[in-house]
Amino acid sequence: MDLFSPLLDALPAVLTFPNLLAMVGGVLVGIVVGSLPGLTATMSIAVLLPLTFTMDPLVALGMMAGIYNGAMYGGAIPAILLRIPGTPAAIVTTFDGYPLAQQGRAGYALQIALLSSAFGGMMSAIAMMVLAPPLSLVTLAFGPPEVFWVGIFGMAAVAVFLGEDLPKGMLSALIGLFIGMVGLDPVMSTDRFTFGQLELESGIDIVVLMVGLYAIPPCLEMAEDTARAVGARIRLDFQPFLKTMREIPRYFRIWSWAYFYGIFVGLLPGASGSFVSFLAYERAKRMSKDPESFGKGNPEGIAASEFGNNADNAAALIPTVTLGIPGSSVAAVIMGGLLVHGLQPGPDLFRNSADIIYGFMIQMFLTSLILIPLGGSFATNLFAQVLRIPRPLLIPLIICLSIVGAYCVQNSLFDVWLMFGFGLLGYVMSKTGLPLAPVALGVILGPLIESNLRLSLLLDVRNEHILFTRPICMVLIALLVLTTVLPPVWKHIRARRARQA
Amino acid sequence: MKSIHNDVVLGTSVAILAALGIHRALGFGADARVFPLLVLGPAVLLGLLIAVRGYLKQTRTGDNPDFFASPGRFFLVAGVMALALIGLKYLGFLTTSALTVPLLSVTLGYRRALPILATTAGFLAMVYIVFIQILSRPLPAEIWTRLGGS
Repeated sequence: MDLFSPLLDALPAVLTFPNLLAMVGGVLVGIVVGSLPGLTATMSIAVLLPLTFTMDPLVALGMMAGIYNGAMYGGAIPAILLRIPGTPAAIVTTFDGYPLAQQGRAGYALQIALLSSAFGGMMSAIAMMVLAPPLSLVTLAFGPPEVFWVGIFGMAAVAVFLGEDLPKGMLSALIGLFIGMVGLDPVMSTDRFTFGQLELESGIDIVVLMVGLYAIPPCLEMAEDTARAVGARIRLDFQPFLKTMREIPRYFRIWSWAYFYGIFVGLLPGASGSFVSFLAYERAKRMSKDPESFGKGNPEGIAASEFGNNADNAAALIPTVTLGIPGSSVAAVIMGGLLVHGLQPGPDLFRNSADIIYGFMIQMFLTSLILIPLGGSFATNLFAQVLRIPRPLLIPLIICLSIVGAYCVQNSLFDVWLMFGFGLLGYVMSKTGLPLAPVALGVILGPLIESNLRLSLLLDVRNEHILFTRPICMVLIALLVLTTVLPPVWKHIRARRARQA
Repeated sequence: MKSIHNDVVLGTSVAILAALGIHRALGFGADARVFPLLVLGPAVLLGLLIAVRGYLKQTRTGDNPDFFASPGRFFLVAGVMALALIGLKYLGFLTTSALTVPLLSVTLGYRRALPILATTAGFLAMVYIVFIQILSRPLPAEIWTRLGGS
């Protein structure tokens, strides 16, 4: 009863007209922003924050919750239609979303992405409502050595499972880690691999890399195949929404794992939703009876990715509201929003401003729910029309959109050239069978892995080998060995048995 | 004449670049070079492994897939994109896009004027409304604003 009474007390304020309007407006803005490469939820909340100064705090938070949840789904739209992830978290959605769109089932892929995003967001909000204070303690149990092993675990699992060719998967991961270390090093600020370019000192932005790596190669490949492309149009194949809804039980098992990863990673500062979707996808592929179909248009891949990256939405806010430690960049901006309205994150927030903080949790839930009608009726149908554009016309549009996306990250023409360079790198990788996903994950996790490795070494003043002797580290190392060594060994044994039979 | 397998070129290039990276990393401070060496060392080995494997595969099977499906169209798109990036600095984003979209569509074989013009106009309007008006993102200045302002 203690749990529900503050939620029930906060509910009437959430259901007022200005609040509902702010949530609907926020979700719409979020979907548009998320669907445009280069624009992120973090940036749009930061840009729109000054507009909320005069608003009631709960109305302002409702708008932020809407933008956040809307953008996380919006990122899936170009990922499915054009193979351009609108947000870093949607990289994994391209794996099966784009092939499904190429098979003429873009509408269906968008429906799966929408439902997975919405349910992921709702479940994440429920976790926040029910478990915020105890879960925040998990954050405190994970120091630099534990976070280092979480990062290594993610890299290894993805390099092994996403690439059909192990050496090439591992090489891709190393390329990503290398790109991630360009700039000033995270501990001593030593200049590394910048070749005297000031623009490279702050490192390579993941959006610039992502747009180049994912948007440009398909343009070049489509152009090489213009004989097929001129006048060619892709079918959208929307099936009745209720029919897609009835398929939901099929995804429960995948969603459960994605939920676990989303909550767990969301709580760890520095790790992000993009990482969750990789882990959830890898797990879904491993659980599937038909793992070969992943990467070729399996809707379960979209379900894992989208549920995973949205399951992290509210979870990433748990350490923010309970401890004042933002778990991600968007959580940091939302924390700024709380502070602007005189709400100091921390344990006192639940005592002094219970109506507002519980109201915010309800808003996180409601904006995920609103996503279904708004995303389903408006955004999905509207954006899916992109596929009706003939390919020779679509290619320059994607190129121009990529240019504006890369430019907007830091208003830098250097970033646009960098994006072009990554586009050519992506093309070479695609032609030589190097998987792209481990590169993106390497850039996301590289700085996290390195800074936590070096902090661990600095903390190990008594030479106790804390990287290997702390209990959680030992569990993570065991998981790492089980995940990376056993499956290839098992595969080898099965192949041998099959040959003998 | 037997051409070189793609994996041989890929693996050798990666190994050489990673070795050059190691050479550069050795010049960093003691702490700053640990992670680069941990990454680039295995990259050299993997590059060599992929190159040797590619060579053996080609020797055994004679298999060597083509790299380009159509080199002409590849260089056309890459070239127009490079021109667009140069144009961005001097002409501004909207002007560059207004030229790039029709030019590339036509050269790729799509010749219907009305859809080209309508799509280009729609795209420019979307960028103007979302990026410039709503989110106030400053895009590279248009040439006409600079001419008008001087």
